Amino acid sequence: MKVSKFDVGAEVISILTKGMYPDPRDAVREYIQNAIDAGSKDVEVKVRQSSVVIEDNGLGMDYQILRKAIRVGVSDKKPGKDIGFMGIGIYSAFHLCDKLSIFTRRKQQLPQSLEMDFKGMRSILSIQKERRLSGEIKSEDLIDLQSLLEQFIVLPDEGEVLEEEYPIEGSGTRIELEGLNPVLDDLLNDFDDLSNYLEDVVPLHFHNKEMFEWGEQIEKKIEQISKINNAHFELINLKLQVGTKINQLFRPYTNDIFANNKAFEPEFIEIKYNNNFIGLAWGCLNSQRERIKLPIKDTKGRNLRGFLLKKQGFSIGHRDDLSKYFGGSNTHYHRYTGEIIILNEQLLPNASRNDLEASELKKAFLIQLQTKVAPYFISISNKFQEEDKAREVLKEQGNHLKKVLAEYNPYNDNYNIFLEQIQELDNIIAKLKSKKSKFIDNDKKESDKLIESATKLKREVLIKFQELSSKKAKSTKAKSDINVTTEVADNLTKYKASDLVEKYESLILMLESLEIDLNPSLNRLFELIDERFIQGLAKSKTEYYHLLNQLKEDFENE
Amino acid sequence: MNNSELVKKFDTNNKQVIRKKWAKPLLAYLHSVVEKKLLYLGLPDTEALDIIEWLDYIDVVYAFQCRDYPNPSAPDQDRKNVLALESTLRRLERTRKLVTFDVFDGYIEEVLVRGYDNTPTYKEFLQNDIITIYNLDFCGQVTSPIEYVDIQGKKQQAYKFNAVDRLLNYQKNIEFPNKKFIMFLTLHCSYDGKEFENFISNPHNTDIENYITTVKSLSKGKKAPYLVKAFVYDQLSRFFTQNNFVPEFLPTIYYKGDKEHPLLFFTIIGTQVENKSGLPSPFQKLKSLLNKPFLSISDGDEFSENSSLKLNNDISIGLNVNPINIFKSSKTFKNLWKK
Repeated sequence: MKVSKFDVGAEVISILTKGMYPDPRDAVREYIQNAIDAGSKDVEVKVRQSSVVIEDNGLGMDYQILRKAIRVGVSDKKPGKDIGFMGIGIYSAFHLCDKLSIFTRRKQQLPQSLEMDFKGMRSILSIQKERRLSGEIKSEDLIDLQSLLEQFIVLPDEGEVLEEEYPIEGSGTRIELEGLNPVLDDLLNDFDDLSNYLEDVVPLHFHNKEMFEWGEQIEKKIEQISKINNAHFELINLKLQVGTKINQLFRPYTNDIFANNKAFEPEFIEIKYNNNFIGLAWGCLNSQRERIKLPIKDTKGRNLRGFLLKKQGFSIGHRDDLSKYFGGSNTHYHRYTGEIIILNEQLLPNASRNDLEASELKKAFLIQLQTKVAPYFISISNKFQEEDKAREVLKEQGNHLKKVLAEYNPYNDNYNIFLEQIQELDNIIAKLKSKKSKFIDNDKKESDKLIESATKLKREVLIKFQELSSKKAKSTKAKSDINVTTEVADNLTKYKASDLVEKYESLILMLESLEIDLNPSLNRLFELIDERFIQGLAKSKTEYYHLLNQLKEDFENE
Repeated sequence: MNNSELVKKFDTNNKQVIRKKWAKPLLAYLHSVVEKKLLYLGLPDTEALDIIEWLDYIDVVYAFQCRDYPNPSAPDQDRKNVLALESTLRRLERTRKLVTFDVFDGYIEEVLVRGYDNTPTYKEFLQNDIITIYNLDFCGQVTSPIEYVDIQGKKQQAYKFNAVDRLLNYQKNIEFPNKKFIMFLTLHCSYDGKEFENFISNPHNTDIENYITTVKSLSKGKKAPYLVKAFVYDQLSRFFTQNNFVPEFLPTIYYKGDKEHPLLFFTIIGTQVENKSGLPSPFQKLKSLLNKPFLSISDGDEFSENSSLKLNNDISIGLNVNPINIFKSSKTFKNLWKK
């Protein structure tokens, strides 16, 4: 069967680009991808009233390369090594702007340019659609893709573009998207929206140490692992200008998303399958048993809880997409922020960059994710949780012991009080012993010390109890009382009886301490209950803490 | 008449002389003093002729462009002028004449007073660096205030001179030592903004009152430049000092624009002073400023004292009318600029 150019209708370009780049920011991402594939280290994106400029210092293009760039669905790029390889990216702004201009220059060559009149192309397609609907033309009369491109693309001959048209030093490419569609450009003209998007999807450097303590370390480690495994991993500097606001962009991780502005040292795991290197994952666990902080209300920050899948530096899908591989609950998943970076050239993203292309290797990767990566991070979080809970028990029982000691009166003449104190001391000893295997380092020693003190005090109280119950004389007691109680008190100087109340700053934080997962709606509902009822009931902050502690205790006793 | 023809129509010989022979040497001098390229804020025409003339000294541009002068801005107006200016500046950026730029959609006074422009996304005016050249060419615009719609959809009014005050306030709030800048202001002699009417009817000090009395005795056509000059000196002196800048006014140029329209070109050099105990005092006193004669452009494209616009008390500037020499002979220069 013979196929002619008339078998590929021009409408295909509109259909493809509308489906592949539904968000106007996707087009900006595509041109940045091209810049990275061209070896750029620095990229600038400038958004104005009705235009976007993406400029890089990559290798640039000569006439032949630029000619090839016009092709639809044909690319010389290497899948896996290069990020863009589908041969459609140059048309990604087809629905976004009226005109695409490219000015480019290779080292020691004259510049080249290219113009694509998208408005003209869209206009032809729109007119023919209307005429077809009204029955004026038949499918045979529709313009074919080749004719449409020939009519609306201008590629000057070699040497025709003058030096002063694009007089850059070295090499590079400048893409100009002119005549932005005002309906679509809202997302581009907001600096925060666009920077949030680009920080997630572009392979950027991490913030410096001041902004994110572990950033440099993570970046170095990724480079090191990539090098060992002969994998390609590139990062770029990206400067964004929207209006008069100009900033250098970085990956979005900062200290302030962690409790007390501190994360644990990052953990890394290499992902391999049958000795084939697939990539690596890094994750920073929150320094407290809490989820990574959400952005402050009414600000344009984003949720960084969990792991983001990246192919080299470009994001694939969203953070929530991977939570299912970390078990049913998000408890541990949300205490991490991190990335799973695929560096294997065989594993490719799909056209919309929202998932990986189906393949055997993808299956293997997902199995590794579920059986190696997720358990690795969960076990670390679990271990920390157990240790932290044990530390909490230690603190709680230390405070408790101090309270018992403070209430202990050797001259008390009611043996029931001694009896209660003995029971309390037994409880303290039992609780500390139950966590014995979870204590680490100093906590272990501290626990032993507390058990010893509680045992001594218990022995003393027991003597008093026995004395009182057998109605013996009290005259010989005083000396031994003071010795024991002083010794126990010395061991408890760092504990405060008043610290028995946990200071939860909100109902949500209390619920999080109970490991209760809330979806966003329930989260909001509990926030409202907290604001309108619980906070209203409390007359002071102390009373508020007591109410939340009471609520927690009631729940735990249910 | 298309856009390009319209630009050419207003780009008169006198305007070109001021741009090339008065403003350009001043910018070259400022450039040498601040030792870096200048940041321009202004109201260029869509072909950015002033910017192109000064490209040796400018690398960043913030520009304002309304859609349909003199009508109040409205969402359904054609944006072609805004886009044309953006296109011109983008070409200058691509050809490495500018480092960057931005265009605000609307009248400068509405954008600055309201805080954002007329794009659907309400683009905010944000100043991140020191503006070193203000070129506020209001020559074709004789009305003030202009009406605009605020974020609640209510009609409000913005005065041109409010915009100038707001600009100086933004400039004050940028942290930078020894701020120095030049402001060019072009006004039509028939400027009749409401703030101007108030100034004439309620002079707030005796120097101005006496000056207005003297000027009022002149014929109708002759008194306008004097009154506008007095108004600008008075308003800008206040705005500059309120924002901790000492103004130095160079002589005002009186010239004829398109269709022989009489225009006034003001040059004010601003210098930041440390805010010790109060507002700074200008070295120039209002009375002596008012008595400075106008300059005009001679047939040989040179500047000289205007012989037909002269009051009895005017103090001659002399023959050597060179903007840099005039500035260098000022107390402002001797006290605040001379190293």
